[in-house]
Amino acid sequence: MTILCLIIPHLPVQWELKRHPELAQAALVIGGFPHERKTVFDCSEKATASGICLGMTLRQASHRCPDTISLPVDEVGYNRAFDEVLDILNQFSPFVEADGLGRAFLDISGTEHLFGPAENLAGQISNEVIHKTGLQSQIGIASNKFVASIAASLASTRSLILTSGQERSFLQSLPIELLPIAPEATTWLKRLGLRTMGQVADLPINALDSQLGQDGLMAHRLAKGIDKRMVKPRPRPDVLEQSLSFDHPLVDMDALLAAIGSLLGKLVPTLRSRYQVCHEIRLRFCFDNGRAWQDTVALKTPLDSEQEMLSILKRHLETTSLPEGLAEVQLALARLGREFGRQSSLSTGTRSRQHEALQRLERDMEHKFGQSPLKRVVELDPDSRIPERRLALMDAHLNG
Amino acid sequence: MVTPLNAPRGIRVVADGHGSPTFVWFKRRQRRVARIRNIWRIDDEWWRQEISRHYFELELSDGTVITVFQDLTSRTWCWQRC
Repeated sequence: MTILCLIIPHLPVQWELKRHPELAQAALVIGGFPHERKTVFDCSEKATASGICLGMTLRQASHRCPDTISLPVDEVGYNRAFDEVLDILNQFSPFVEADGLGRAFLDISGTEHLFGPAENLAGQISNEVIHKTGLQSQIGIASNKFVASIAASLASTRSLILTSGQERSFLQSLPIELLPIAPEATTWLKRLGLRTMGQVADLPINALDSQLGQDGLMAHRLAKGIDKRMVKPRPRPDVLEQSLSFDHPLVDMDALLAAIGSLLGKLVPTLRSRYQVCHEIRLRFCFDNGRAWQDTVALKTPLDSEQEMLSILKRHLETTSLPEGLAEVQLALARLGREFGRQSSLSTGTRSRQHEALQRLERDMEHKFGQSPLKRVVELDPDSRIPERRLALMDAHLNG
Repeated sequence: MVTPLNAPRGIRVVADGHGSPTFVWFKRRQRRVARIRNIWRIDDEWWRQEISRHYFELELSDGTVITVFQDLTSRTWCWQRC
């Protein structure tokens, strides 16, 4: 197993500096305004140098360094930025696990055939992340999650790569504070005069187990460089979303339905390509006066048909009128699930799908040959005594 | 455009003295009529273009069952699915 750990150091600070580049030289503190009873969520290197640390109250921080600039926490923004990073990582491996904000693990076993040796892969990922998101990252590669995460946290501009078998010697001299165990357990180890992971690894496991229980066992295992945790791939986002903005605000319902049809035309092929069906359609309308309106349509039957979704939305919106000019419409297909078999109706069943397929065929043939040779059988006089009077063939005209 | 389905198609038939088919040329081969399974007549639309047909449901020597009729106005033989 080869695990890559990527850390975006101080992601909130990097994100805020991207939005406010003029604050690059400031001692930046993120958490709220100084008068608020909140704690420091993240801070820049300059603020750290002034003695500010995470978890400190904002009041204490402003006392410690009066020149700090405080910003409120924008968790949605940070999460969105990190989601972008995770999407980039997914291009390199399907096994991507987010471990809190700013840290992710990838199982890159076997990817050397695609991306070359681990150094190349780390370089590619790092370049891609900075190119697409503007965020600096640190990368560590090792045979398990714990060692990879320590390597990433110690890596600077270049990635730190450890081959299998180097784990114990790498951890040997590192401080025990890096072990992910309860602070009380760390304090207890320190009280015994233990400072490095190598010293913890040399202790008898029975002693650690009897004194610290699970924390002791974990500390012993990790200090020896053993970590059998697997990378748990993150669930795929359960929503497909598209939006459409209008240069001139829309006031007409027909135009809105046309816009919704166009959005469905973009989303449904993606849905079908993933062999999924949609249980819920979410609509969000943003008006030109800045107000927004949100609506959710729960589908009785999960669908993957553009036509059926559009007709449901038409029925849903037919009694609605637009109060103001519409500046933007967002459409999301939510609660996506797997396609499953469904009971056909005795009378119609899958006829609507067949009908759609035939409509497409007729359009294609008309386009190719000028007219469609498709005919339909119609009953003229089913009870006629004369056989040729009972049924006839007519032009199909499926597209009206 | 409306095209009637099951329009009558001409067939070559040899009939006996009573007008009953004895041989037919069906699917490019002459076949003997083994049995006449049913007979009926249709006389209709005498007020415009008269339809007068004498139908025979025939079992051929190879077991095939077909329906033929003689148009009594033109004295021609036709084959039709019924």
